[in-house]
Amino acid sequence: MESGLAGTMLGEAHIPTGIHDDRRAAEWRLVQEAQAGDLRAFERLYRENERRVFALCMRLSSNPELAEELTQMVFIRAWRKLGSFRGQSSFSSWLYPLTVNVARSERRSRMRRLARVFPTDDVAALEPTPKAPTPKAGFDLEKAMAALPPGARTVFVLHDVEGRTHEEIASLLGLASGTSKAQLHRARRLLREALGS
Amino acid sequence: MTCQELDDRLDGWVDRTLPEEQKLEVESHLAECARCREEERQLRQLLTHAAALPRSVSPPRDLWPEISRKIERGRAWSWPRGSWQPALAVAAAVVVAVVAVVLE
Repeated sequence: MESGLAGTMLGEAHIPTGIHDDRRAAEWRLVQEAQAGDLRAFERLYRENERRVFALCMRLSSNPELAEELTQMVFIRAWRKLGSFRGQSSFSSWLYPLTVNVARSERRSRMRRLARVFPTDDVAALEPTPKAPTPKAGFDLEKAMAALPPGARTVFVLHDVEGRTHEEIASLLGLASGTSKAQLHRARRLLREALGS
Repeated sequence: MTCQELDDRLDGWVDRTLPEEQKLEVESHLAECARCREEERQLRQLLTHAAALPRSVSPPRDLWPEISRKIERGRAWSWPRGSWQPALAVAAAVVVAVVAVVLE
């Protein structure tokens, strides 16, 4: 739901304050019901946020099938951690770092598993060839993004697709903001080369 | 400014994060260098593409049934919040009693 509660994940400035408050209040009621164990309330939160979470997982993993798995993991972890959500931000804002963390930790554990099975100095070379994501719009860019090194891809997605600042990215990923800038520079250079060829 | 220096600052230029002094240097280099203008054009085109990507994408299938099944399974296997402490105390008491009987 593009303009639903999930719309507050970014770009909430255009939402009039009254509607914004009503939505936040409705969302907070759902969160409280879910915190009390109501799975149907949690399903509504899921329905409001699944498309944003899936899109982010798909771009961070470059693999639509893995993105389905990651999306499930995000919401299962969200359910477990829901008690720690106090409503200071929108639910979608709370979900955002959780999504990024799930995608990154899954990648790290996949790399560890691969390194155990195929001992090598160049673990990155073991990454599966990314599959082209399914959406038709912007297909070439999605494909080119999928071929980026994971670190550069993550920063490009967060900065240029999701509109996050280097400071936010640094905080989300536990990096120096200079590293985020360097990864973005690398990603943009590789993408310009790919799209120009 | 060299073309390499411009390349280092191109991100800051298009993101509008360069300090005023560097902005003027980039501006004057771009006015003179067709190759760097082309680099700038390509970068802006890339960013336009990126900004146009949909931020919401529907999963190809409904993931909720599986999510709810996993949550329910987790609930079945976990103690209700706060209820494990009394159970643990009872278990510890039983262990102590058994050990005391055995030692006698």
